Amino acid sequence: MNVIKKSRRKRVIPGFGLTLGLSTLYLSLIVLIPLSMLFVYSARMGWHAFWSDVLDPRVVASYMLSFRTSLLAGLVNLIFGVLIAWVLTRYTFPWKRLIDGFVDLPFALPTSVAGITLTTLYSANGWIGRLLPFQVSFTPLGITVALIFVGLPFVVRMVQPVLQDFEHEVEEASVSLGASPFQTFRKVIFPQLLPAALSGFALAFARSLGEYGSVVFISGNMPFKTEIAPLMIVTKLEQFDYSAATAIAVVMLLLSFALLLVINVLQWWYGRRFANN
Amino acid sequence: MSIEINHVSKSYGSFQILKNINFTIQTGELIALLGPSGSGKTSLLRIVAGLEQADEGQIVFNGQDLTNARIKDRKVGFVFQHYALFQNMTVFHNIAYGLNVLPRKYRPSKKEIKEKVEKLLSLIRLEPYGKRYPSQLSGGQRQRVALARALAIEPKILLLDEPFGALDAKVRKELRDWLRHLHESVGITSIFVTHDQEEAFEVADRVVIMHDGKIEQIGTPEHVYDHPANPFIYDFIGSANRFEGKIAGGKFVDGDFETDAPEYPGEVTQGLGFVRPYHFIIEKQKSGNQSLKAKIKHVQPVGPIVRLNLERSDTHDLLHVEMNREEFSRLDLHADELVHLKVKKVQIFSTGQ
Repeated sequence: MNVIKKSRRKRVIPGFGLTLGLSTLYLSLIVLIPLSMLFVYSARMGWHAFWSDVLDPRVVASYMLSFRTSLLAGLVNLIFGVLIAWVLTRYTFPWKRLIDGFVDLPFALPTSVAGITLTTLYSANGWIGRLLPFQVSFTPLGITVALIFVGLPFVVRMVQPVLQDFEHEVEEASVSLGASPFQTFRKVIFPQLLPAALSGFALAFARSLGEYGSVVFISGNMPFKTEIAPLMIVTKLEQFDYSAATAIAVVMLLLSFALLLVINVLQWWYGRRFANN
Repeated sequence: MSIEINHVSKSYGSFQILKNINFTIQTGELIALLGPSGSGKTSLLRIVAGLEQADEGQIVFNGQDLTNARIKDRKVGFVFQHYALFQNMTVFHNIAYGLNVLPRKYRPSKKEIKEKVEKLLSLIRLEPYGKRYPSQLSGGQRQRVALARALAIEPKILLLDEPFGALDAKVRKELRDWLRHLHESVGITSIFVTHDQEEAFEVADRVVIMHDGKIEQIGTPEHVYDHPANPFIYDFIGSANRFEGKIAGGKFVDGDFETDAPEYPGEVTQGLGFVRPYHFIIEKQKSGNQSLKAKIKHVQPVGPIVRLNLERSDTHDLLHVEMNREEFSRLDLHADELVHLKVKKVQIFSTGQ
């Protein structure tokens, strides 16, 4: 049971009111007001127009595609992100710093550059596409590849500090009790890095949902097949159909908010037991 | 199970942390590895556990050479200074861990595991805490859980690395008594590492004093306390007054302090003398010629005894003297008073040259 107590404790550094006020103002300006405009705009159009825009089969196909590919890319990044974080914290090897730096590259690179590069590499005559028996560019698989690229740093950077702070003695305790290395990882290490990995997954997933620049080149943008939701928004904008664009945006916003909420609740439920006392 | 440690050496790079360590532990003994930090005691414990490998030498359990055996196969219970509990598991699952990771064919049934964990919980007097997480326990409780977890696999040997090092004085004392009691009831061969001589002397059957990667002395607490083998041990186990002087003609001389040194009849060398605080006689009037003038600086009654700090009149070094209250009031001593000290018992070591 949580009892909210009024804290009358004097703080070492004062200024709670000021900093909270500034944070609220800043968040309102940067996040809340722009997002609320979405709702205001879409509210103007009336229910009927809203539903017909939002439930247009072509648009629905784009939501499905966006969520499917983002989820898949997030899962791949979850697995390989933990692996990379593990290698980077556990072992020392030449050029480790450089490889560690590579992880951030998808952040730094303009996404359109990444998109063009990936499209070229994975197209039927590309260096990698040539070797594969199936087509990657201009398919949902290609979109997933681009999203994996974009979301790579999140899980790695979330999990790395947790692994770094992990007490070596805890592993030794597990081994001394007769556990195999795999059991130690599965029962002791993994459960403790899961909250961080989930955070990384949530971030990568959210980023993927909104990703546009790197995807439009590799997707080929075929209606019902490889059109992602952000592309639909841009298409509507190009047709000066602002209300339809906002309506789709609102749906995306609500859906991703719901998904992030689920992940956060999962994380809270999981971490509440031991993470902080 | 007996443990033989045969000529074990270990280096980290160019630094030799263990130098040819050699001793045997009998079945059922409780041994304290005592030494200052950096003396190699923890490394030795970790080598016995199999957490580290010795560069040279053997570890033999009950006549079986396990030098290269994996920690899994050694059947040792290891207790860490900072508990190393699994934060993601309840107390119950922490204790059950060693049983739950057994291969299916050796693993006890759920019911047996539950019974065993409950027995261990009552042994560590934490029956109502099975469902809590480690972060909800105090330090002393966590260390007891760590002990129960180690005991759950029914180890043949229990190894404890500064088990009470991170706890406050009162809890430490409690756990120490409890460990002694536990050892008497379970009877498992145990080694624990500590830098606290009081802890070692109070709990252990035998004490192994280590310094600089070597064993300085092995013996029962009484023996080590009454007959320290060398000046290091005198210094380390503490509370002895130290005199630095010369040995010549069967006498030890340090300033005005002079005493017989019959162990060194003919030699002329540097020497160290150690006198315990309760081996002094205080006199108001000088008697005999082997006495030392000193001024009382501070009087501190502690329970049934009185501690005195005195300043030597010749070297101005401080001396610590203890006497019982009756003697103190009979002598009627006061601060800033000049008195004469005689020693009842002194241990002289020659330091060469």
